[in-house]
Amino acid sequence: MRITTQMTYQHAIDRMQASASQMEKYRRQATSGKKIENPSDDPHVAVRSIQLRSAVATHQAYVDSGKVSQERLGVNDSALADLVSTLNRSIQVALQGRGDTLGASERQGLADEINGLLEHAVGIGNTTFRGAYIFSGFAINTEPYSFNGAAVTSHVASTAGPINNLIEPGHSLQVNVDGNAVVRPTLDALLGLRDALNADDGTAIGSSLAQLQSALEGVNAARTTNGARTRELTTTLDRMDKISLSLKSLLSSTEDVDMAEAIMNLQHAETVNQAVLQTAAKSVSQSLFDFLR
Amino acid sequence: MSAFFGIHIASSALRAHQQALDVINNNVANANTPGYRRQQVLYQNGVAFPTPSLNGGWGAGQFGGGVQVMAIKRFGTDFLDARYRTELAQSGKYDVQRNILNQVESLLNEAGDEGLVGKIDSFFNGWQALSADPANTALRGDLRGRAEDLVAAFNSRAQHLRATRGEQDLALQQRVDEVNDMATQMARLNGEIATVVGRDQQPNDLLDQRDRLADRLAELTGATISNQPDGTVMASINGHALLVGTSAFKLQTVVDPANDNLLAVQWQTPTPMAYNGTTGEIAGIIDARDRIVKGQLDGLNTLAQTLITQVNTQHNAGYRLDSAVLGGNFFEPAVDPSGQNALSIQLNANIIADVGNIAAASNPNAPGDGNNAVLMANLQRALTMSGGTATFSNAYAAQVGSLALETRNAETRFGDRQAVAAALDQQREAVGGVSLDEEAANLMQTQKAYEAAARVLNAVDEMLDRLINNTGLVGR
Repeated sequence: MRITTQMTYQHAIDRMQASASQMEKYRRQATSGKKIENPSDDPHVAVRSIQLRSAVATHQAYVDSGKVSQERLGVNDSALADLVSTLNRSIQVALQGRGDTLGASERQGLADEINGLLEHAVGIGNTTFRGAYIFSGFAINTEPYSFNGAAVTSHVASTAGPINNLIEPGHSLQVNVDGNAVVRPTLDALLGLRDALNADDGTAIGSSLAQLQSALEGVNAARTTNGARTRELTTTLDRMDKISLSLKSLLSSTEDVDMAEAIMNLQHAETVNQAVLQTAAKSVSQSLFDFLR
Repeated sequence: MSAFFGIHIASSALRAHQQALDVINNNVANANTPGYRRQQVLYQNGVAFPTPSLNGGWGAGQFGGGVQVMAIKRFGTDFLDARYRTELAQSGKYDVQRNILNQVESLLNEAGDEGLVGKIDSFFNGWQALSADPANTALRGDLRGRAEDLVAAFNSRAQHLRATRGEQDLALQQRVDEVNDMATQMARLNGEIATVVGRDQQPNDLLDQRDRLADRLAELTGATISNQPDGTVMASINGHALLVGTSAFKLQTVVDPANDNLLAVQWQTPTPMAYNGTTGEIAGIIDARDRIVKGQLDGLNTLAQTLITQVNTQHNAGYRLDSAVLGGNFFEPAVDPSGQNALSIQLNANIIADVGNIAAASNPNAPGDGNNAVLMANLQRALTMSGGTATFSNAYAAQVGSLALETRNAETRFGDRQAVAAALDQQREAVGGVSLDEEAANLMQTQKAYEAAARVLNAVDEMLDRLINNTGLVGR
């Protein structure tokens, strides 16, 4: 092939451009840490990393809100535990009060203690979590129970809810305990016991005792259910955490550049570029005109 | 035979080499001129001188009568031009496409963390967070913020895509003007070339000029050029004549109401008809604008419309915070008659006014109820797009993928075609380009011949001097 002057220069320029753009590509990879800058650099990787990033974000959101649900279930559990110990103490008092040996004034004393326990139980029924009443179902802003010394009043007609939290995609979990089904019988039984003690009525004390025991069963059942939910949530959260971690490492291996490789490539490209420049400097400076007198 | 015949021969040699020197000079001068094809003088021996005689035998004959320049040859590359221009038309098409698409790609910014898919996820994750704590005003505010982000992301993408389409008007107009201008110039050159050819001379520089125009014309429109016996060329775009002899058939741009009032390209004559080129920059711009970028915009609008409908329906199925009032629309407008939902999507004024108007509850007057938020968050995974086969995020990710593929295709095809065009151009250059070394050698050769002719002239001169001034002086 006939080699012309323009060809020599053009070729040198083309080679310089090519090696410079190769160098730039690796420089960008090394500085950004990403394999691709625009989706078109590798459409397959781009779509994959978009989907992975989306999955990572979604999982993270579930992990975050799962922690709130976990706290809520924990608050439920401690409230119920408190209710159990209140009931246990009341049952002791009832057993003590049922005895025929006690006189009216002694029963009066026990009634005072039960009154205190009742006030405490009403307080438990009005437990809040982040400013929301946990036993009032959807009506989280309404105090569910009040006690005026003579009677317990429910302010929320239905406390069933259910309040469901999404704990993973497509999987929701009930996180509330129905106050009217669990707390209210306790309050009623305590009120009945107090009044029976005040009335010095042994038979009524006996039936109150039965009420207390059935209320305790209800609370324990609710606590068991709540515990089972906590376990379910913890297992799910653990799994989500693991999935989240493996998604992150998958995302990283999809879109992050292997630093050592990128730097090696960059250095190689720099060497090539230097060789191109040196060759160009030599080849384009040759001319026959230099040798003619 | 005259005693001065030697002077005639020597002077013809001086003249011919003088001309050759000028041609070499011109080659050297144009060593860097794009599209210049090197020229060379073709020497021819002069008219021979027959020795006059009645019956011959007077001596040897005939005597060569010096040298003359027969023609100035141009190293044209017609046989490579057609192939080169075909490749140039393709590489021109994909070059403009890849530029437009690269721009779109960086505007859509989907490779980073700020992509639309991320915003959609963030929006639904906001609902998900709210579902666990529906009365929390901070979470409601956060959700509104995420929704505003999403709306802004839709708006800015739609604006960018529309602006990108609109900007192509200018690009098309410039190119149509350029094509018309070049067609006119080539028509004029056709006329001049035909005249020069008619005089049996070589219109070398006019041919260079016309070839340069033809190259650019092919790059713009994919026009094919065919040579005519009279030295003119004919140019046609996909079968429609652009240039015949000295007449040019021009293009024009008109506003097309059927296509968002963007410019359409037409043939002016004989009656306006749609431009029919399939390669070259003009076709590349039109394809990118009306197929690829429009496809992205349509996809974005469909996504926005589906999102608006689904979210509004679900939102209106729920109740506002501690209220018996249904949620109403979350996004406005519910339906955009012009179909530009991505551009027009906004938050409902009620949501902007009060985050309490976000309907997270499925039951009236139930502040602790987050079931509607759960249902809303579930929309993230619902197969709402592409005829019930894809989620919002997946549908948009697929759209980003298809843009990336189109961009990559354009890049790859440009690279391939460009490489072939460059190789062909190198072959053209190998034939017709100027090599300064070669010119230096030719210069030496010509100079030596010129010096030798001058020396011969000197010899003849001395001979004549001897004859005229120093002959017949016997006895003086």
